[in-house]
Amino acid sequence: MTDTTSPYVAATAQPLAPEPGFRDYVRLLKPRVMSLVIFTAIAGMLAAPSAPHPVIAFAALICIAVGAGAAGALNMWYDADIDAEMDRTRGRPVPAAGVEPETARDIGIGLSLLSVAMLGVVANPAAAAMLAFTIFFYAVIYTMWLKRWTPQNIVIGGAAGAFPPVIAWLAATGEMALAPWLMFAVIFLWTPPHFWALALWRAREYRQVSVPMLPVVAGERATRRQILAYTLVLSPVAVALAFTDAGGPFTLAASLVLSLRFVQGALAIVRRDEGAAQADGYRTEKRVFGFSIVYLFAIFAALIADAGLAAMIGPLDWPVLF
Amino acid sequence: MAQMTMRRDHELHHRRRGRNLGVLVMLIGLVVMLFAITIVKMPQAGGTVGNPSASQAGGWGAEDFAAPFTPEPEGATQ
Repeated sequence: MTDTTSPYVAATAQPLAPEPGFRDYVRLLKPRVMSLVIFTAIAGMLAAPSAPHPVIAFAALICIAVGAGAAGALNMWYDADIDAEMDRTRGRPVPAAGVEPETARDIGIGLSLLSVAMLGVVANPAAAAMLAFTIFFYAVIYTMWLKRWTPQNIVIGGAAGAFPPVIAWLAATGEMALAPWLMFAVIFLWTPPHFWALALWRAREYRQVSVPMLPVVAGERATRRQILAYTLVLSPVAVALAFTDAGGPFTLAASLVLSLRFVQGALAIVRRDEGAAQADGYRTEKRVFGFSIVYLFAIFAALIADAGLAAMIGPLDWPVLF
Repeated sequence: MAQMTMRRDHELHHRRRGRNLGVLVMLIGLVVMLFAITIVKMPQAGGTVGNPSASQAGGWGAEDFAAPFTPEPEGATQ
């Protein structure tokens, strides 16, 4: 006789939930965002005047990357409800791969504690404190508070993504200087035009889940003007970075040429209206969004190139104005 | 008599195995990194074993470990 009331039978009779694989847990840490974090942190570390031991530098970068990933996991835990509703985020591991939101939260908290404690041991307490603040800023200030409350969410929340070069500089030197804060300013000012270019063609989805992105709240016209305004403010800051301890001829050339192209792209966006954008499937907006990624990578690659140049031929006779 | 038959792994087993292997690789990486950090940090802490501040308070420093192997100065036993 079969005992149909057995909890085992009842449990096995139910359809199996999707079983998340290791790759799904890695995706929880937002590897694409992490790659940007690692790259800007490498630039911050190499541009710093004193170089730590390679093992220490590597371990510090791992800590910063894991901290950023932990913040991403916390973001996926808190945003699980709206991620399931939007095309852009529907494929994330919580809505799509069966990772439980509570698991994402626990991984986020665990990796946050681990990365901050490790950075404190590997580098110094100041860098660890800055990493802890960055995780708090992204997970609590941006994700839990600003994102669903104000159209300025991206502007203020963008600061979280701008901290990695500052943390890396602190980890390398233990001291603060103007150069890492200019790197911070470049990423901070770059985030709104980068994200709003995307938000223009995703506005319908944000409206659907009641996230007050600028195109939803202020309209596409205002968003286009804001993209241009931020790009115009970003350009001189990027050029100023070239005239710091961290800068050099590569940074100057990259910031001048790329900023000019970024402003041209923003002007093209501002000259269009919603009708024209819809007619060609937001071609210009998508192009500027793609270019903005190249822009940031290229500026920080130029900083790395300048650090390499200084390491090869010694200190350059280069005007340091800031 | 029922015969035991080999059963092909379900896709679920592959995923679990992949997950376990991934965790294993991560843990080995963490151990290797901690070991490398320790090796690099030891000379920076003046070769101090344990709490770096302990040697200043009369704890065990590198000199305590080096002492038994340090050749005695000539004539010291005379």
